[in-house]
Amino acid sequence: MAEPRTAPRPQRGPGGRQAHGYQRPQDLAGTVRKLLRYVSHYKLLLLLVMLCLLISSLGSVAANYLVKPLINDYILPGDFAGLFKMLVIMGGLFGMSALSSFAYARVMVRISQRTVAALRQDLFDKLQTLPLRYFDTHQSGDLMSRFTNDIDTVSELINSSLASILTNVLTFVATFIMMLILNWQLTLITVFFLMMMGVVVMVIGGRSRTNFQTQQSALGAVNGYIEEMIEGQKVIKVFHHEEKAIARFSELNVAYRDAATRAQSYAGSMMPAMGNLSRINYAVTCCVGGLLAIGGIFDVGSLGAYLVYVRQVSQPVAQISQQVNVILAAMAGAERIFAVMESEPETDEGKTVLVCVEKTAISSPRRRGAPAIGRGSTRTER
Amino acid sequence: MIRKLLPYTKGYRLWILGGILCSASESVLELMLPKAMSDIVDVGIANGDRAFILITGIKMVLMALLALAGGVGAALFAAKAGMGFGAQLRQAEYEQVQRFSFSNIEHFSTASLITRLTSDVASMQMTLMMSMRIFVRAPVMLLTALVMALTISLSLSQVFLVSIPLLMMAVALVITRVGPFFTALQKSTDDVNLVVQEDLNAIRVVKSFVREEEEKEKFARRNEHLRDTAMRAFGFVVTFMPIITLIMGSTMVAIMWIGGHYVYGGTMLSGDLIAFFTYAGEILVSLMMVSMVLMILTRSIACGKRIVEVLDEKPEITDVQADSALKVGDGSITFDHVYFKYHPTAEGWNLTDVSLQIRSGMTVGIIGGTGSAKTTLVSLIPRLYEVNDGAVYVGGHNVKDYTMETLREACAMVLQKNTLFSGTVAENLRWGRADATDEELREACRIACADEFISAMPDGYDSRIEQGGTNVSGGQKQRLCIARAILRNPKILILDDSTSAVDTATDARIREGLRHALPGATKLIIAQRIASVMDADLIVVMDDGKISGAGTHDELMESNHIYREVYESQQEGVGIDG
Ligand SMILES: Nc1ncnc2c1ncn2[C@@H]1O[C@H](COP(=O)(O)OP(=O)(O)OP(=O)(O)O)[C@@H](O)[C@H]1O
Ligand SMILES: [Mg+2]
Repeated sequence: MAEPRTAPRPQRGPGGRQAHGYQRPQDLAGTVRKLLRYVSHYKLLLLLVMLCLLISSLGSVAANYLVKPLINDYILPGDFAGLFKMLVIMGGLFGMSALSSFAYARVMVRISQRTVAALRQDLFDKLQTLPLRYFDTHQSGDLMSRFTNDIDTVSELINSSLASILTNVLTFVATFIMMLILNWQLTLITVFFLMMMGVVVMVIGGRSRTNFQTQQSALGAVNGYIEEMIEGQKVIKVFHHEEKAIARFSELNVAYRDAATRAQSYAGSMMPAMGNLSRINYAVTCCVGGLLAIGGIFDVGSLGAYLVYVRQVSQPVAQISQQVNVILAAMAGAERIFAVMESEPETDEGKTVLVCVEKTAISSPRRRGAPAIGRGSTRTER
Repeated sequence: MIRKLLPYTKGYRLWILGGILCSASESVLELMLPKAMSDIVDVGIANGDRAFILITGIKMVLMALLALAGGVGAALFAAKAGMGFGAQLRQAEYEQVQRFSFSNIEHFSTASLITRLTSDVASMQMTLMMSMRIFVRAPVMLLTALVMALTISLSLSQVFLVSIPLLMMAVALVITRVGPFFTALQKSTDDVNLVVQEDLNAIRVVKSFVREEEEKEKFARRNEHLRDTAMRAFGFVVTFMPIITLIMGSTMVAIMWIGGHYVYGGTMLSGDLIAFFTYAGEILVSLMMVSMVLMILTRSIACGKRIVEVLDEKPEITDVQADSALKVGDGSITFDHVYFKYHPTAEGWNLTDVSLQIRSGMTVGIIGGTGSAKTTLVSLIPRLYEVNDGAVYVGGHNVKDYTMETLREACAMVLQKNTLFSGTVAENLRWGRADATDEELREACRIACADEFISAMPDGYDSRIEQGGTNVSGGQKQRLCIARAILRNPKILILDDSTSAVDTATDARIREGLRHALPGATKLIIAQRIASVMDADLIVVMDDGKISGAGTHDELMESNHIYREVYESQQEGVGIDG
């Protein structure tokens, strides 16, 4: 489900802030390249991660494959010494898979936090070199959200999405190969249902995306209005403007509710649709597999193992289709970060001494964001 | 808390019920499938009964289709209910904030109110949607799978006696230990954000004093701290999954070993073993789902509490005592032994025993050092705050006797920290009076010396003002705010340091304009420059929450040393500047 983790920044008039959410980066390849420069410090560690990922996904796929020989070769004939040996192997596979997934997760945490910290530092250092004109033309709340929302999405991308995408792809490929090995005829059924799922992803996913965009801009409007009115709340009180402020709010609130209901209907239908298509696949496979088994083309152990895979094969597909949005949002965030980093620095024109130093002291600002739960939800203010 | 939030599900309760039913039936149907599959293996294949397999297969497909309908239905209902609930909650909270007085607003702070209205509400509506699905699904799946597993083999189910407690322990460990990690993480995130915010707020100071390197270092320290805290927190979280994998793996191995013996011994069928295997997986997965829901729930409980705090806050200033027929007769103001403090718990008073008589139509200047309670004093006139002791009278009646609408209609105040709203110049001005004609707008702007720069703007009175008025200068903003107040055509006009960003010449012209505008209205002008108030009918000198002196310029020069000192120091300033 596409849960907005923090209140997306509101949309401002032309040239104002953009609404965060489902957005596509303008220059995907360029942004990826720049991001890779940061990650590439950790080449060796990344190699280790790949290796662990491979072991962990293949390990769990293989462990499930063992269901077939277990039933066919050991349980049914009653070879318990052999069964014991096989179970030790199975346990070993699970253990290895757990161990390596632990290893890659730990390494990934390290890589991602270091990368993000470097990114944050560079961004901050860069800001110090920008001319004052830059700060006149960019709202500080907007710059602030680079440090909170944008850095957060990038961090999430490196921390979990990257590994999860790789695992999912590996699991999918491995599962699919296993299915082919077990029985290619039955795999045809699965291929058909996978294609159906592809259609679902394209149709519902596409609708979901456009609806989501409407939702995000409606949300931006509501949140922007809330922010503006609350910040001006004292003026509202002085001018006794409360009723008008409520009337406009109600309109925006209802508009957002309707847009969000539509968007969430699509977004929420995706998982059940995929999951139940996979179940129909399971049902059909059972039936056909049973018939094949009667015909002697197939055996019970293989059917058991195959059915485990059938239940698994659609999960990576569903997960990847969800991750795509996270990745695109993260890339859009990264692009905004790099946009700041690539702005023109100050050419030393001799330090201008300002005649009018504003009242804001460098000490802590008067109002502070309330400590919010969850990361990156610290509010910014101007 | 839940009891407090429940009313906002009104109108959506049927949707919630429908969603829960759909979700539950989806989960039950889904779990019938493995059992049907085991029938295919144990009855169909074992007996070579093609017809049976076919019929069971068709049944299974039908069940899956029904589950599909249930799942999609649940999603639709959840969207409808979740968003409807969210909208009602947001509406109620927003309306509540509109009832807040200044002190209520300050109690929460602006930034916190915004969070409570935006991301907290978003989190609540998401929680309702998620719990309609997962909260139903996980227990139903757990129960159904458990029942299924038990009916297949009671004795084999004993493995769960070991693995479920183990899993619960792992989950409990993570949930209890993860809190402190994330509190620390939140704190270091706040620290980093604070540095950025301070730096951005004070970027002019940073640059003019060449403080960039120090700022970078300060940031680097906090940034490294955040990084290390994050590595610890997330490093801990990622141990969870592998432990789960291990527990699940061992359960599977145990099932195969024990179940293998049963199958060989003939007490269990091989299809049942496969089905049991599947149910075991479901049981463990749904347990994890329950724990995840719990984690989300603890987070949203915090959000819900914060919303309830707003809903429960008692608006400090209300119209209960007011007589709605009472109108403000004239612009006379009386302070009668007024005591006031912002925080009820504070030791000292912010205003101590203030008594003051202002006749209708007077022009009153208020002067005093920063923090001497000038703003505090005038805030009591439109009843922005409630006095603690004594009383404030406007037009001969206690301010509490008027409705807020009547009082504030008659009493226009230009706040020291003022703001404009996004929209056109004219729209902003009409906050003063909604039905003002274009001519009246222009007239008010002429008095406030705002018409010159407005006509120089590309679209004149239709030019856009950005949110917070960021695209006009400080002095322009102040002049627009004055015009907005003049448009109100009030009986009392209060200008709180409203020309601080305007040059002296323009300041003088605005004062000149005000002298003739709004005849009969009482005008209170707070100023830093004595020149701005010198020719007022009455000048009040504030000092540390008390009135140090009141009178005309000449009287005060005679009797009030604070006034004299300020006057002299400002004269010197004029001398130096030339
Ligand atoms: N909203 C508030 N909450 C709590 N204390 C406040 C608040 N506003 C002002 N104070 C305190 O009350 C005292 C008087 O403040 P006030 O704003 O009235 O001074 P002022 O004379 O208007 O100063 P300035 O010339 O800087 O505007 C100060 O000590 C200040 O710290
Ligand atoms: Mg003041």
